[in-house]
Amino acid sequence: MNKDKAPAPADEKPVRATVVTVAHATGSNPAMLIDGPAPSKGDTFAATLANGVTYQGIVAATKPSGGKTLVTFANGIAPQE
Amino acid sequence: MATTEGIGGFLSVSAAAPATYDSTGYAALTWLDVVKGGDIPEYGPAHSVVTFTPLKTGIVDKFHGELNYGSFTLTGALDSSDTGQVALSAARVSKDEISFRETKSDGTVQYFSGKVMSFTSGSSVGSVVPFSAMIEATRATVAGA
Repeated sequence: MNKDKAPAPADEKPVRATVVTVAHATGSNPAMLIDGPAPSKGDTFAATLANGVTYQGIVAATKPSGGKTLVTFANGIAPQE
Repeated sequence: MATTEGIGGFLSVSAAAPATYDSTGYAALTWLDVVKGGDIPEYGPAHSVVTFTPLKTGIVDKFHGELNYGSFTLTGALDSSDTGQVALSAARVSKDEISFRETKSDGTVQYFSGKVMSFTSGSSVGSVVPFSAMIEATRATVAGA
């Protein structure tokens, strides 16, 4: 079940993330390194990257990585409209 | 990057354009590797030369003219299961500007955007069935973070 989160209140700062590349045999997918609580698999997760653009994607998995949380996505990420 | 061997390098393509033409925008894309690519020739920006020779001195003065981000022909072994090759061929048909990522053997990357002008193949005795894809860069190269 897709558990889309309600939009954040206007005064709430968007989550900031660092984009990282996760390679596989025939290519690579973008993932995010975030601070704070991990989203759940299937959530639509959005965060703002260093270029100031907020991207979103459907969470495929999360795992701890160097004190942060690595969030991988089912179908990549795209700028939030 | 330090001097390094070429083996291990490869080109990747993404049919999408980045939201921003910087390392973060490119890194946020999903990439397909051209797994059976064989050679990535040199490419990069180059200016034409504009000259003017004053009658008084007869010495050629030189200026930077138009800027061309360059082109190269990627070659390799044709393989219809190579999703990177499929993306290159599709970009020739669509005529879209797509995104490219070159990964060096030491893991460093650089990005650029460009168009695929041709995707050709042939056959000959003594070699694998090859492909050639001519790529015209349309934007500046961007070093990966």
